[in-house]
Amino acid sequence: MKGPLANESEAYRRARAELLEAEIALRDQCERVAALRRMLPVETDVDDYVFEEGPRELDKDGPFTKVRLSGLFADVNKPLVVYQYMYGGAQKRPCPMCTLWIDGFNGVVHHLRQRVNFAVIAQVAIGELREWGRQRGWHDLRLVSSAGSNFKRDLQYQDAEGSQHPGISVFVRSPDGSVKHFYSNSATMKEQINRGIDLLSPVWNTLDLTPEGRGDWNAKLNYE
Amino acid sequence: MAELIEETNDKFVLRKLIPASRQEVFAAWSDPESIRQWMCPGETTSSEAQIDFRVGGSLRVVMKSAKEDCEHTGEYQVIEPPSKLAFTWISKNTDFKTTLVTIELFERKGGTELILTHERFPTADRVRQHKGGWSQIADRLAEYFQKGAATRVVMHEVTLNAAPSEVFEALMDSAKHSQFTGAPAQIDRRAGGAFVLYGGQLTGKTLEIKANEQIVQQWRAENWPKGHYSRVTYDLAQLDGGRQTQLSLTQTGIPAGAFDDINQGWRTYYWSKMASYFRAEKVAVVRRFMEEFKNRENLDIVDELMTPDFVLHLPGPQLPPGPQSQKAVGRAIFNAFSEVHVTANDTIVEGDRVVERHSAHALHSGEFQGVPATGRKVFWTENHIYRLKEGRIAEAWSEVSFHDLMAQITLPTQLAARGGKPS
Repeated sequence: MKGPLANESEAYRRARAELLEAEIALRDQCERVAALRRMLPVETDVDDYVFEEGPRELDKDGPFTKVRLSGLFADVNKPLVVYQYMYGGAQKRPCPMCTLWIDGFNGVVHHLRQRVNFAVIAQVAIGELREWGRQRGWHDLRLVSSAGSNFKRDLQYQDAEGSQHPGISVFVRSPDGSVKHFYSNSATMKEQINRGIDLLSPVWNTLDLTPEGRGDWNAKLNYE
Repeated sequence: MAELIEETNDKFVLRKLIPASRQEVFAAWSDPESIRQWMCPGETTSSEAQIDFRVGGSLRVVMKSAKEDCEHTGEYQVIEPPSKLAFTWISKNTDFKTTLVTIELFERKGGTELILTHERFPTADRVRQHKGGWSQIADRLAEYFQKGAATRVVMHEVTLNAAPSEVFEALMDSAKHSQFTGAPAQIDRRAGGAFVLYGGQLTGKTLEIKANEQIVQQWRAENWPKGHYSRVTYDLAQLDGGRQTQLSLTQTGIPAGAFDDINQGWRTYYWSKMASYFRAEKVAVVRRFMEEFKNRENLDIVDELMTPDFVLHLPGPQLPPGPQSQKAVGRAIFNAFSEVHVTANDTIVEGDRVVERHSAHALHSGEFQGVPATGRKVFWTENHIYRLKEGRIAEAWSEVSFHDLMAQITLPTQLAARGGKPS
């Protein structure tokens, strides 16, 4: 626990104490939400979609191979977490915000892999996805293309115009080999209610610790 | 080019760096489908290979061109994956004598060093003939791996202080491109037209073009593997009502080894040069106006530098509309003052605006605002905000230290002594 600094004013101490209570309440709320999430029934079947991926070494561009959704469970006893990347379809250039999230996942995926299977799925062709992945240095992620499948459409991460939506999906594999959808969330949680997956990136949370907060800062594919 | 490292009357040795691992290069020599694509010297369009890839096994390669089909036969002597391969080689070009080809592969940084030794030729002429052919084959083999190699992509987003039309022109107009890069540029701006930039270092072809919005090009750098092209897409979108442009660059198919150069190259040779160019272009218009109009009394320069719908915002006098307003101000000043000299102190460029602070010295030699000539040296300051549009001044907001100037020509001499001293 962090105690007060010697020269803190009384006003600061009061304000900080009040903030601490709010932070604890937020932590409790997060845990209540997680408990509710865990109680979702695991029952919704999904098709065993066919995707495309490349060799494990990102610096090799081929051969490309087919992989099924069920094949993304490298460990069948662990759930599969999929980042739904907005790239492909009507999204000609990768979404900068999604790219920020994925940059983060690339750094922590070896931790995640202890408990889950993890993949990034985009509608763009596998060659382009890997080419872009090489620029980002995503050597630790499993990059998968859903081009040609109805995965994005069925999961509602692609609309009729081909527009892509960002988000995260969780699947589990039943003992009979079928795949069940457990949970999905998007940046747009409900109409007009956004920032649904902000908690997946440390960037926003870190900026929120500063006097200015996150402000109107936004991610870009690169910074001049 | 493959490098010739030894040549005698019956033998030659070539060296070539192949951008692939030894295993991959070795596999290419053992695969008829692969051989078909790269064992193609000179005008050979494809080669048909039938091989029995084991020591003692036979090989038959028919090199096909428009002129003739040339058959080569032989037998594998050494097969030691992934480092050594030797086979005999017989054709009409060896006078049907048995010659020997040895391929040795060494691991090197950036790929595999291939050493090709072809020996036991009947004559020195046959040596000369074959070294050219194998050298081309080695080059094609290197290209074959280059084409199949993993490529990289660059995506940049830059905000430029210019309208999309100006950015578009800078990219596609030969003279403007050459101005901002400081290097020769030839651009045929039609779809299908070729371009040669940076004096030949960058070449390619425009595939699709949509004025002020999008340019798609087949694009390569001089030092890339022969025949390898990337695809460059520039997307232009206006920001801030057209005062700025968001340029999104997508370049796919960059050879992996060239990535760092290209990624940095756009910043050094394009974005920063374009930014300086757009700034300098706007400053030049405003500076020319100051020099010609104010320091040379060339009132007609207004017709060239101001747009026909130019608007001057100057507190005080009633002015005629359009560029005539600026001329009227000029006439009033030059009737009253001589030896006018104006200098620019600060220049700030933002979007389509140029802001300048001017200071002026002059001699009060004629009637001004009802005050007859005093013969005094006077000083005044001016602040201008100019709005530029397509290389001309479309609007100006001007403030002049008018009251201070009036004081200098109306107050008793001692009180007006400040005249001529900049503040």
